[in-house]
Amino acid sequence: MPGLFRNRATRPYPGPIRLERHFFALYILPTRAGLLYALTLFAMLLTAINYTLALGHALVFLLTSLAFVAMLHTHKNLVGLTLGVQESSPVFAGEIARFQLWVETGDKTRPSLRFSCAGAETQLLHLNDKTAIVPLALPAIKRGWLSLPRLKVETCHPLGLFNAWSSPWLAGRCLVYPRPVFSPLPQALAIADKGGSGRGEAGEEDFSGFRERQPADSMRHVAWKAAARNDGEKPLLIKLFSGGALEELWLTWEGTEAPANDTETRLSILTGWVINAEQSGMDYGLILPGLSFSPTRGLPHFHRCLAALALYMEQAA
Amino acid sequence: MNIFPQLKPVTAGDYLPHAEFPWLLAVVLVTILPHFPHLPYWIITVTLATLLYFFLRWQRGYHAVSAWIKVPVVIGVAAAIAIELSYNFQFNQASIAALIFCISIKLLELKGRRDVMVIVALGYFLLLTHYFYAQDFLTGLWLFASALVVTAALLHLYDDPANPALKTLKTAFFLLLQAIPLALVLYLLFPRIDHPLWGVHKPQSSQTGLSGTMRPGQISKLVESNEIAFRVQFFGPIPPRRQLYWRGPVLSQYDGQNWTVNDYQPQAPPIEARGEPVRYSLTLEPHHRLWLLPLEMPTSFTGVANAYFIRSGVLQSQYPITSRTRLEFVSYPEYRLDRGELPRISRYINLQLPAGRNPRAQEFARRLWAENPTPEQMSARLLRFFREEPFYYTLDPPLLGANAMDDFIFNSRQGFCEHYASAFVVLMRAAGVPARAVTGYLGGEVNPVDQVLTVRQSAAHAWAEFWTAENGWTRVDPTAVIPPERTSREILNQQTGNSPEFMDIALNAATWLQKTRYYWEALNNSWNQWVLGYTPERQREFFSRFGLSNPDLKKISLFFAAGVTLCLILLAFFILRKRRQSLEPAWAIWLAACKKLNRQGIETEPWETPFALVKRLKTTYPERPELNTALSHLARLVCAVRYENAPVPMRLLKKARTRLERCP
Repeated sequence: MPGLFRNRATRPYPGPIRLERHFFALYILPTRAGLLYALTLFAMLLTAINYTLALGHALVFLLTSLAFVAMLHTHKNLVGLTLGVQESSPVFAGEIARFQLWVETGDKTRPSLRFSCAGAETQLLHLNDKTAIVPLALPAIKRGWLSLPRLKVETCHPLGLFNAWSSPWLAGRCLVYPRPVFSPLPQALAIADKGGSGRGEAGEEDFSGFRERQPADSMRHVAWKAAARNDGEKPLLIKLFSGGALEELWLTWEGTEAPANDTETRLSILTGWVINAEQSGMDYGLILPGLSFSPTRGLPHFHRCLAALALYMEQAA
Repeated sequence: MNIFPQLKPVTAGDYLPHAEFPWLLAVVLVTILPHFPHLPYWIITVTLATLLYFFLRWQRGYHAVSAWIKVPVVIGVAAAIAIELSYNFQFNQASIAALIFCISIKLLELKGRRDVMVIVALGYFLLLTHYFYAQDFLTGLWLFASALVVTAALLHLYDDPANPALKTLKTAFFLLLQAIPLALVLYLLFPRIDHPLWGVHKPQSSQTGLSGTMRPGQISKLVESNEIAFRVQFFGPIPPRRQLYWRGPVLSQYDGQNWTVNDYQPQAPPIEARGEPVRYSLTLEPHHRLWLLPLEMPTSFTGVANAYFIRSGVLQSQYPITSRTRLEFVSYPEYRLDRGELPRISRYINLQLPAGRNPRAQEFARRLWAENPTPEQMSARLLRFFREEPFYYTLDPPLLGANAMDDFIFNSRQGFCEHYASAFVVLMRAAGVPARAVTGYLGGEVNPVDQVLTVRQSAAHAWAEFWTAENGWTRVDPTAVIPPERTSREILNQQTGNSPEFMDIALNAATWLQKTRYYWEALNNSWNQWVLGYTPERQREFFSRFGLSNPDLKKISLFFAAGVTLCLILLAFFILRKRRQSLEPAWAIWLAACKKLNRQGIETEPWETPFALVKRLKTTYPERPELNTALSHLARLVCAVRYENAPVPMRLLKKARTRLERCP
């Protein structure tokens, strides 16, 4: 039975999907409430026959007919619905990936639509507008691409006697960065062609502010004077230097002090480093086996690095 | 960054919104209230207490009642119903009481949507049980309304909770409306069975109607009843009242007190039809007896499978009439019954008199016979006797002694139709003329709206027949000769109902109240004919219109399946049809204006926005400034409506279009 009702598509469909009256696209079956209704009608029919109740016959036939009308309306509530998925922003493993389905109702109110997919909580929506967004939250467990599983769109409006559903398979995916593990940043290297001045002095001249210390921050940048003033009750602060451009940080595969065979741990440490480096405002470069990004800063670079970490060895696998 | 409206998602599941509670209360109330007059007080009390408790719980934050309360109450009520069943209840009543208790106690243990479905299913079933009491038109309307409430309660569970109650009702109404065509097809084509599937206790209601015996005082009781005995629709002009004798049981056996039927020979008497036939259909209310009450004298009939004549000219069904039955007859008001030779047995029966009773009457009859030696003369003489002597026609005559007819003819001289018929027959028999009493109905009331003649129990009547070789059985109505001044006021009031002769005057003269009553009865009659009277016979008749004469169950089932399938396909087309995209009125005006321009030879492109078009035309047709201004004006208005949601009246838009069209 499950095979019979399975959507025949073998691949997710890249574009928006419009639910049509195809074979194997829309299904409908009576619900348990529908079966109870049928049972009641049968009992009512027997009573009407037995006591020759003319109006009893009329009532039974009206309700039977009502069930058919409800069935058609249940079907109609799904037909013509267009579904698509929006680009979803990347998340770190261990967080919740948020897929945003957009739904076009096709100029019709569509009450009581339920959207679900494996792993996500079912969303019940009553749509009145032409388009609407349905958020689907999926836990991101593994780094790499998290693709949207086959959806299930259901409705039993108007009377709950029939359940109509369709299982469109949309090509939605969300990039999952490795779960970050925060550890101290490796030593930054002074840039040789900046006039040979000592490491640190140049930066210290361009003091730009404070921020809270993170575990990976170097002890050298801690604002000890500020810490002494409040007797250590407040978290340690780090002095920020806009002149950090003069330093460059290389985050290397080999620099992670994890056992050589544990790729995932190394990637997690590198992810933590990338986050810290971006926050500390230094230029940082990333070197992975067979891949390297030259040192720079900014969100595009940050995400490029994280994407590389997320997809490391993934495509090959 | 999101251009789409964010909707607050609702977690799905089997939860039951509190907004559903008033609907459930409404369902329970509309389905159980009509039962209250038929239920014992204790169950009404228990039910109302349950509903009140539910209401209080609902107001204070609902939670399902604990089993410690529920179980003892359920056991107690079940026991009480069982006790009532063994003493007072019939099975129907007990099941209705149980259903009502179930539906109200269910309100106290609502946990999820599933429970709502249980209440709705019970509610639908309870609606059906209303028909045990009545199936008239008003009940039909009330039930449609109740079905609407129950359906709306179910719909509300799945509909947008933002919708107001009225909208939910409206949607439910349209659902039911769309269900009607298929329901009609099912009603007409579903194979009907006319015998019960299991034992049915028909309530032995107090039967009004003819009883098959005649005792002084019996028919006068009927006169007080306004119940309908049957309705008649004539296929042609309505015969005059003096011919409207509806023939019921013929009574030949007299024991001095009671007249009873003494002729059961299932053999049609020779009937000689004369004059014009009268064709009509007669819808008999169930009277739980055999006779069919046709107009004297029927020659052919359809409608009841096993009807037959008995020798006395009475038409009988093989089974008692337990449901409303529609029959069609052809009758000849001028007829000769049993002309020529009377069989010896009939002659014997119709001359029989109780020995030793009513000596004065016998003596009197013999004296009259000596003066009037033919049956016709004798009959005329007796009628003159009733007319000229001070006989009174009254509803409450004094009681009669052992020689009842002596008492009536010579002492009390006050009586009702049964007294006169009885006295006439006794006197004729004493004179040696075969005679008998006939009971039935006389006349009827014509509804001027639909020309249907309604015969009520108050029209019950008794008359007499005597036999001659030349004319057969001749009808004599001795009551008719009593002059009006000797007729009691009640009877006069009864009789001045609408006789056919006064029909045309009737509707004009009727007060609005009477008119309303006529229309109401006409409506009820068509309801009875077409909704309630749809019996297996009528269904067969219906099928025969489609060329299926006398179909068996297999053929009917095929026909049924084909009809339902066809109807379902049509229904699916109707519901699932694609609605044409309805254009905004403003945009429609713009498109019409563009079309007009095209006809003038000015090209417009479908992708061109109004302002783009205006700009382009300004450069390409600088020589037509009026056109450009008019178009610009229209474009401004259309865009204001379409894109700025501005409340521009349609009048302005139309004016702008006309201005554009009138441009040179």
